[in-house]
Amino acid sequence: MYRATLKSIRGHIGRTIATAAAVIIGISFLAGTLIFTDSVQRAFDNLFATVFETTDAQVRSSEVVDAGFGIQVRSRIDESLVDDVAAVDGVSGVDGFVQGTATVVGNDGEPIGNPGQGPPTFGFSWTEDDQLSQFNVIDGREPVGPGEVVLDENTATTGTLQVGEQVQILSSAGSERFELVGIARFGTSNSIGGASSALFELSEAQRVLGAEGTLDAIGVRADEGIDEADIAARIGEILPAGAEVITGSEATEEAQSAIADGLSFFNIFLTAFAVIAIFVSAFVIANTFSILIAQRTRELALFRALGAARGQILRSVILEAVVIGVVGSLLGVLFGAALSYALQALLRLAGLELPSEGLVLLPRTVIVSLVIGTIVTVGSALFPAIRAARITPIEALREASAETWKRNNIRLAIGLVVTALGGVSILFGLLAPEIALAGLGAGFMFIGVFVLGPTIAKPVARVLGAPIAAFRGTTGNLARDNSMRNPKRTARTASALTIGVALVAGVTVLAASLKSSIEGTVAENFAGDVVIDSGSFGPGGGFSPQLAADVEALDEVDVATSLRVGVGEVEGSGDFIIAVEPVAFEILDVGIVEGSPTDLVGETIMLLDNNAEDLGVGIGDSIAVQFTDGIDRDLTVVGIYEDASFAGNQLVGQDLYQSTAAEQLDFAAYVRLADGVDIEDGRAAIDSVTAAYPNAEVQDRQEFIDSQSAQLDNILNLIFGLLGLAIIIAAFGIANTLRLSTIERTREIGLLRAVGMTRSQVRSTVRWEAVITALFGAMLGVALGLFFGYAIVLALRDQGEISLTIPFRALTTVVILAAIVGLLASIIPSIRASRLNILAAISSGQ
Amino acid sequence: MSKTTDNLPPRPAADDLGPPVSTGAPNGSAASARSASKVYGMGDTEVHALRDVDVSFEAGRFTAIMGPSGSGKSTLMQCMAGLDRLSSGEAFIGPQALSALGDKALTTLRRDKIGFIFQAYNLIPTLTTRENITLPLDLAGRKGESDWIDEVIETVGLSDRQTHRPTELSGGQQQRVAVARALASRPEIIFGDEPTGNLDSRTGAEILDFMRRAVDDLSQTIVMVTHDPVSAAYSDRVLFLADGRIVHELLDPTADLVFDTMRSLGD
Ligand SMILES: Nc1ncnc2c1ncn2[C@@H]1O[C@H](COP(=O)(O)OP(=O)(O)O)[C@@H](O)[C@H]1O
Ligand SMILES: [Mg+2]
Repeated sequence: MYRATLKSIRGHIGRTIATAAAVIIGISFLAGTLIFTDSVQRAFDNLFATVFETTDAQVRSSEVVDAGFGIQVRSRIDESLVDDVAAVDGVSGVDGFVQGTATVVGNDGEPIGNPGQGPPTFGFSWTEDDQLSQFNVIDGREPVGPGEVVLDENTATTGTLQVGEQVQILSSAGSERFELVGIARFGTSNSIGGASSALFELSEAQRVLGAEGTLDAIGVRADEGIDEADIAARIGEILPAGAEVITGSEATEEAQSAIADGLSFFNIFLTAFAVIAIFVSAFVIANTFSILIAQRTRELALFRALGAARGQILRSVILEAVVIGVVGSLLGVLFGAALSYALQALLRLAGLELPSEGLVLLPRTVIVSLVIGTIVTVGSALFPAIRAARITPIEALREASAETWKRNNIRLAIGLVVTALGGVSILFGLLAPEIALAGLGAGFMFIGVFVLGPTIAKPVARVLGAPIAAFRGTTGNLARDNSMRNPKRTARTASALTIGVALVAGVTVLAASLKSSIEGTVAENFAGDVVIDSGSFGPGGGFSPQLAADVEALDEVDVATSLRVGVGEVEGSGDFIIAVEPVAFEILDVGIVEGSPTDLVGETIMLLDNNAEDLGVGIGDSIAVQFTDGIDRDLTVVGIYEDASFAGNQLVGQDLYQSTAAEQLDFAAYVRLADGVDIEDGRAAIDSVTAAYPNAEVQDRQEFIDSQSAQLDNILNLIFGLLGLAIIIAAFGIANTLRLSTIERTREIGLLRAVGMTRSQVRSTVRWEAVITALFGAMLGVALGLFFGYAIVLALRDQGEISLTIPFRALTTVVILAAIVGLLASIIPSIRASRLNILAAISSGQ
Repeated sequence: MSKTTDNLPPRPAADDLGPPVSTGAPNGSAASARSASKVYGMGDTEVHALRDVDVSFEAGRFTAIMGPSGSGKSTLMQCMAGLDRLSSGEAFIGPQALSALGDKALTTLRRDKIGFIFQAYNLIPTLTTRENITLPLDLAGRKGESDWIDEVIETVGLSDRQTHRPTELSGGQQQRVAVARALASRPEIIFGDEPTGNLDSRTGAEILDFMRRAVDDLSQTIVMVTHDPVSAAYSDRVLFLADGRIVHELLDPTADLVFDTMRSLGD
């Protein structure tokens, strides 16, 4: 029996590979994700280990504001602490250090890096103590005075900047020129993970980075023979409240775990897609095994007649699945490694050079891949295997072999119940919100639709095939008949595609809804003429407040006002806080429901209505807010507003925010032109100011509205790319089924060829059958996707203005693309079918 | 039945099939072969299925091919019908030499000029009776011959079975559909490989009757492989094959005559 199994695997190597392809793709994505993140983590671990090698202790503020989304901002300490620390017995060297945002402009006039969407752009002070320094100059010299800068090697290369040249640098101090005096490496790496670094002499750094009189940290080197815990303890004794000391190893660990946190988000994101891919693979595998077993009914029945026990049949089918699962998983790991390598290369092309020390393949990766790949394959083959074991010897004698299908009301009922259950779970899961429940609900819906599929496949295929039959004549007619003759097979084959398309369609619907509401609110709430956008949002990005001031001073401009974003703790929980000038309310409508914006001066705050409700406060109450300077402030609520699109959860005055010593960078400025100034003249005037700020993009109203929704497109494209994987797997499923179906219909194809069907007509028949199957899967998917999108929009409605927008064009495109996927999947099976030897086909026993 | 002869639309002209290659196809024959040889396999496993066969099938006649199993009957038929290629020699349909044709031209030739009746599995299971019958016409995109199709269907007595699928038909009915399909495209020649081999003798006789009438009333040309003397007696001429060669020929056969000939050749 086992020998027969292995023979069957070997004898049908093509079909075995095709089945394994589904496992391989799914697993390679999973393994690739693991290998990639492990490799990056390992490289960063090593990098930080060398970077802090000579640092024995680090002194810094103990105040940290956590704004969520992995954004943490630590307060600064007074620079006078340096002398106190240096005076501690056992300290042999100290070095004050500041860090902030400084964007370098390349020789092509383009800013390098973008804190909003790309790698961060750091500004640092140069550490004079050679042994504490994390950077080593490889060309030129270190910065020693005002007007001098050293850049990391990657940035210098990207910007084609050479030692001795003048470099334009954008920071909160404005747009300034510095002399590039040197080029340095970070440890052994050409950059800090692709981020740009501009290094200044300390007091110059303090000025440029808005840190006069303060430091972010003090690096400490101990005398020979004093260990790091000892020196840290000694320093700890003299530190004032609000400052803390950590050892060099702790600094290393922190840096390493910060990377791990960042990667884990990435990891979860990619793993979600790997799970989708594997889920889809399971459908493909189950379907392939079902067809194989249906086709082998006679062979298996013969085995039974010859005395094979049920258990032997079951085991032999499972053995086949195990072999495919193990081989597929191992190949998946191999492809995963290649995928990971390709991803690194891709990131490098995109200018994001991660420190690389080769691929890291942990035993965990191999084990996880093997276990999951094998379980999924065997699990998917289980039902078909059980069905195989139930075959009676009598069936060997029967004529019919292909799967038969009869309408079954119990099946119909189960399908409807499971689908409905899934739908309800999704709605509850999203409204709760309980994402896991929603995900489970989606799984249930897919399974429910899978169960229902065969019942609806026949009538739907009839309708879908009608135009094809009408236009393509006999071949179209035959294609339609073929797709209807085994509705179970058609439905199952389409199911993998259904999943992929449903997810794509759901995301498409959600995106369209989000976009139209963003565009709607932006258009409604912005009363100005021009927006100057930095393309970034959040700490560490934006342009100097000087920009808005210079624009405001123009004759052509009536009002120019900026938005600045910082982080703080509001009643103990970290969040973004947006800082505005009262004049902003003249051109930005935030929907004030209570209070007056002119009161937003000094120690005051305005709250979003939901936020005020959550905090249980109203006008005149005061709430505790801590900015990154660590000072507790009680701010009086002077206004409540209802529209978060410009204002977020809370607003403070820029005068207050300026006093917090946080980095002052505007992420956008909004402009109303003076009366009678036309947009062309206004823009020209503004352009003359922004010329010095290459990271500022000037947009008119329409461009601004478009760019708001364009930001979504980047994320969308990424998601579509990843979901494309599920669709590729589905294509393999279609190809596999077609291949098996044409084998089943060998005699029929032979007959058609004999009575005059040309090869191209045979190909066309197979092709149109694939298209009908794909269209069926895609239509079901779109229906499901519409429901998903609707459910998510329903859940989001709670949190703001959003209404369901159905993107008919995009959805039509999805369906057409799915049909093309079907076409592509049919290429090889159709060629094989058309090449059948007529005589062999006619005389093939059946 | 004779009425059908009068309103026959003209057959497709032979020159639809590209330049006829006149390498000696006998005039007036619907199909012919010259020095036809067919060798299967190589070296030790070499089988000479046909050895230097010269044969001609005259238009409007019903020919039966007989011979012991393995004598090359099917091979001859398949090579003449453009389903397989000769190892050497030449096969002609009308004046057209088959070796000159590529796969596509050969396929269209089968579609337009040749009808087939196989022993079994003659029909496409997803198509109805009528669709099966019009299949070659549909594949060619030929339309507007529905009067003719109606006649053919009526002739074989399937008028009330037009929308049935093959699984809903008896074996005899299925073979009648096959005969109707072979007639539908008004081919130059119809080849049948033991078309009644799977049927009981009464049903078989019915099918043979149709074939005989197609020759008599419609001037069809039919070549049929059979191993049954009674079936062979429906034909105008019986060719006997043995070991890849034509060893005997019988005109206007009767079942007894055929039977005796088989006996004498068997010795
Ligand atoms: N595809 C093939 N490969 C090898 N030998 C074949 C093949 N087809 C037929 N033969 C051999 O050719 C000879 C003639 O076969 P066939 O024409 O089928 O005979 P018949 O129809 O008279 O029984 C036989 O010996 C048969 O074994
Ligand atoms: Mg034969």
